[in-house]
Amino acid sequence: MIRIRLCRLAIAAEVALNRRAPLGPLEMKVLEFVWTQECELTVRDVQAAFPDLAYTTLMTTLDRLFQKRFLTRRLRGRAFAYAGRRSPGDALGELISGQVTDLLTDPKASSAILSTLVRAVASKDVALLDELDELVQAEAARLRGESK
Amino acid sequence: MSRGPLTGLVLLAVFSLANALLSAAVVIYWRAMRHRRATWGADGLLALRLLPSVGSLAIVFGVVLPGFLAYEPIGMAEVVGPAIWILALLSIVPLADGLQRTFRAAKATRALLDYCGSARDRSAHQDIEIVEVMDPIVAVVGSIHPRMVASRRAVSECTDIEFRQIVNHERAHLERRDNLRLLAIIMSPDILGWTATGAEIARRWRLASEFEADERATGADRAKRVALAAALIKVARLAIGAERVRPTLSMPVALDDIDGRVRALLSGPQSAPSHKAVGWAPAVVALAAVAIVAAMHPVHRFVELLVALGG
Repeated sequence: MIRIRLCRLAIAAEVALNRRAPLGPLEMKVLEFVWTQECELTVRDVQAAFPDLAYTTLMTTLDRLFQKRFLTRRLRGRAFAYAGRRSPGDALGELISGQVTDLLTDPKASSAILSTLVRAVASKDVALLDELDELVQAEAARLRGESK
Repeated sequence: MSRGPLTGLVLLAVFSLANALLSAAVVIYWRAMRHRRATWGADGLLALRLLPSVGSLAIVFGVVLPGFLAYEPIGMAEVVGPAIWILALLSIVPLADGLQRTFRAAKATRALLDYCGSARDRSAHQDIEIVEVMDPIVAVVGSIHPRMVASRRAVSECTDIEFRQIVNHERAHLERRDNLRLLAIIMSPDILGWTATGAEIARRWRLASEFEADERATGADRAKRVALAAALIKVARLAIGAERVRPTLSMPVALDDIDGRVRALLSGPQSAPSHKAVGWAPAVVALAAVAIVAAMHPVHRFVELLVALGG
């Protein structure tokens, strides 16, 4: 039940934030089903869970989900086997992380009121960080020596 | 023009004029003080940055308005020249700009808090929220009800003592209400904010507030100072390559800050920067009160001239 809720949250979040093309009701149902399964599924496997739907309808739906990058697929014999591209939790976490990054990097939205411990550091400054690290290690060693 | 609308017009015009003059005065003073800028503490820098807006509001409501109410005859219509209209209209620009910056900052902060809220670890320890984001964020977010957030990536790099010092550092920001001060800078309706000097003072204020938060977090405890310095370097390493992250006020890349902060932490407790203005505060307040009373009539005469100018 929790897993289904997480699936719905991940789908709703992706759709709401326009990271993906919107999903139709059938696409959402099928995606939820695929996400709740542990293994790869062929169209036939999915049809077992949706007996009222035609094989071709499910084939098209799974293909659309693959095109929208929600699912991966590989050829198994003569049929495609589908699986979730990421777990719902990973999808949701990655999505939120991306949104926070966007908020910090978008010049229009970069006026958030925050005091950050460290701001951006350029790659060319690695040598200086190494130098500072050595100073810190030396001071830490001195402290350890004094406490013995 | 009758007394009511004229009062509004005069207040806006004087605000505009005082704002421009005080902004110019701060720019000139800042340039004159270029060799002694390093000795300024966060409070002094904040006072200097806010002087044009707070000063012009004080002049408007502390001198001009009482003078206008005391000396302007009731029931007399007055001819208004174009100068006062132009000044009054000009005052709308910094006021609107301040409002726009405040709205944008509030919106961006709200959005950031919402996403951090969605991504936080429910078993977050102490009063810091651990969030599942890629950026090595360790920050206090928000102004009225600020929250401490840290990304798991940053926290997992640090030892327990280092993490405790990070929490102490962020708590120092909370206790000093640094984000509220930052909000005051963002919303400050002044011309100084459009100048390079305004940006430089704000940048130095941020740096000074980081130094002071470091000092407050660690005090004279050498082990704590070393731990915070180590944490700074670890988080800075994670931030390498994140050059495009430019939080509030278009702050430049801040490795100089890390360099100075780490060296300051290792060199022992720093004496607090001198606050000469604080020692003079009672005398300044008394002088200001006398000056306000003495200035009311001459200022009102000046306002009369301004109102009639060009008419």
